[in-house]
Amino acid sequence: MTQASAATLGFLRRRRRVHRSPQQRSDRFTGLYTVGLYTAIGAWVSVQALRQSPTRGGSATWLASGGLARAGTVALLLGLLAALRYATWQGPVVFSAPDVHFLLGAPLPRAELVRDRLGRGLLIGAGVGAAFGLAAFVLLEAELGVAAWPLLVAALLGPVALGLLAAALGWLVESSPTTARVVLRASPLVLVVAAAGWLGGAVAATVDPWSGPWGWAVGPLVAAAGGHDPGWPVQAALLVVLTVASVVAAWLGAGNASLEELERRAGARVGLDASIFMADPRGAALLRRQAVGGLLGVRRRLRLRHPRHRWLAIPWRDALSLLRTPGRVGWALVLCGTSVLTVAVAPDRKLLAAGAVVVAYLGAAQLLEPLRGEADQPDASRQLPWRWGDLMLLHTATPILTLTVIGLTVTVTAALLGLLPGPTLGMALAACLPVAAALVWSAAIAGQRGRLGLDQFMAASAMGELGGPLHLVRWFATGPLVALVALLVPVLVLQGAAGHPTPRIHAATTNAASLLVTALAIQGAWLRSRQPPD
Amino acid sequence: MAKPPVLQLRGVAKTYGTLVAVDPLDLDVQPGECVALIGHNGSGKTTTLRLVAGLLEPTQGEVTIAGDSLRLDRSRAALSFVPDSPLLYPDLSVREHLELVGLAHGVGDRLDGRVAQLLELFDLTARADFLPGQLSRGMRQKTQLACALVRPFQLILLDEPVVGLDPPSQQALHRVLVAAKHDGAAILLSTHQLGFAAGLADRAVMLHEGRMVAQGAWGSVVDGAEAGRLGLR
Repeated sequence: MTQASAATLGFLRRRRRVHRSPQQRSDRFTGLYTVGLYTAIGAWVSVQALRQSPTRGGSATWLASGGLARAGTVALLLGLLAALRYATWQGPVVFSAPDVHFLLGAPLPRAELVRDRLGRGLLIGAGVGAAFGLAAFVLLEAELGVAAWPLLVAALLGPVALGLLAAALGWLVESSPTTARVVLRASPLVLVVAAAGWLGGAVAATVDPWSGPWGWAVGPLVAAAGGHDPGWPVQAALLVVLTVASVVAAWLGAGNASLEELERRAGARVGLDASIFMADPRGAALLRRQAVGGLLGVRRRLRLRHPRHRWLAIPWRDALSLLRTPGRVGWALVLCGTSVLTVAVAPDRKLLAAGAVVVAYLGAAQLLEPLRGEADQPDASRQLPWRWGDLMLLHTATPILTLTVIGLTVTVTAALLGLLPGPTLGMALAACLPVAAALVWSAAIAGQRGRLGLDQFMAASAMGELGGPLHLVRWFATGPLVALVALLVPVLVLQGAAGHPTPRIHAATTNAASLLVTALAIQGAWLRSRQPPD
Repeated sequence: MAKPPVLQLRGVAKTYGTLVAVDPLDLDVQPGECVALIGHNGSGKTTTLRLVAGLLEPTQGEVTIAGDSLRLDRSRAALSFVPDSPLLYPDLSVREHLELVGLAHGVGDRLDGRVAQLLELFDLTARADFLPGQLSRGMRQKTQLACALVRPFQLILLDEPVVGLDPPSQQALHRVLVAAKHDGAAILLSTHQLGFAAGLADRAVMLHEGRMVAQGAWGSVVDGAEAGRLGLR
């Protein structure tokens, strides 16, 4: 580092330290202590629970016969995708707004200033990878009972290298808006690849470890866990070479990012910190959208002729919104498609069915942005001639219709792939509309409350270390839980009748349909009775 | 022989997808010259300044400062920028902000004297050890201005510099900028306060919806037909 950079950064650090009050130091220590304590307690309880679990070893066969290769590959691929998407608006190198103005605006070598932060970003990447690896080690060691040291080394090697790779590639994404745009536009495709990697059975278990760095990172782990992967030394070597090359490229290209990109991230960081402090993911999502919107640019505005009937005004406005943000429909398609295919491939797995409901809920929630926008500023709705509850119901019309079309498309596709036999297909097609309504109304019940308000946050703060987090979890889990109650019970009824004589199946179908209709009636009535948030 | 321009814009444009923020713009600013960008809100003044400051990448065209590309450290040494809202470290005092900038720009032994002079000029001496959170908006703006002036520069960019400033501070800023002009510095400022720019600007560039619609001597542009048509007088 040049003398000028060292002197300036040294001055900045010294002076800022002087102004840090004892209270701020104490708060920082308390924060770290609390996180450390919760992590340690959580890890200890998890390890003990795993070791004493009566079903220990129950998944060993599944893991050894390709489950570990598929699950690990998909998890790491999704992790890498999340890191790269994060780098499109934040990333491993983020300066504060004053840093951009005072430091990056000064005639100091920019590469040196970036490397100072890039080093930290790489360490964090490796740390996150190590945490993931340790968690995998604890789970696998308890489940498989294989030799611990080789398993620990393999569990750490892949994720740590992938964490470093994610940070290095993250910087390359930060440096190039073109690359960032590619990451954003290719994300749905990566999800499809991940779904294929998960659902591909024995073929996927063989192919996944060779599919890219996410698979190379899993190869050694599969071998150490007693699975069959003779190519693991090559996979490990490929991963190490790629990681080293990427880190070197990022380090050498430290001066490449434009001030515009760094300033964009600095601007978003201020709001992100506030959103995190206030446990406000909606605020963070809006910031992300704003930052990414700047990257993608303003698209030509699509027009849609307005309807004549006033009751169609809100569905028309929502359709316009979806047409202008087709990415939301794309995400809904990918998420709901994954959900339907998961259930079609393994119709008898209860846990998978529950996961599929949550994934489909997330897909439905993608379509409810206009409703959320309404709940963000409820005063604006006073110009409209509807009660809040009616307005909320009107906002769900277009999403239900869209999700039904998505459901029909995915169901027919699954049938063409041979995943749905004839009688099941008819039932699945008939279920598309009510299931779409249940998912959308679940998301609407959560969304109409608006953002987590200051009163909720203060209430959580007043509930102490245990009650506060639970209060926040309850707030955020409301939507998925409502969807699970509405949909999982009918699904379990149907699963219970599988393999039984036809009359029993008919009775189960009738019962499931009745349960779903009852759930819909309760959801609709609840939604209609709502008042605007304060 | 005429001196080369300190600032040169050649075909500089900025678009966001289909939205044109600045149409291709050519502009030269000579040493010792002050050019004012005027126009309505959203006319492209701030975008132009941010393009010159390197905070935005032009979609096309090139910005050079003292003959150098904006990407070089040398051009950053020549350029000082005052954004439209103060950007300050929450945990550095007023004085420390000035010291930091002076240090980063290699002001050297003259730094302490220069800091004291600017604190005095902007009536900040009594609050020199205050943190930004303890200052009013106007005082934070004065701190930002003092930071821009504490270091040597060939070109200073000022985005709405007098918003939030009391009249004595506006006069002090005016005096400092006039002195800087006499010392050969170029000034590019955007403002709605035509009174502030009147005694300072040699030329005016009028922007409307991202396009340059008039440019020339200050008086001819401000009193011209285009300014009347757009209601800027």
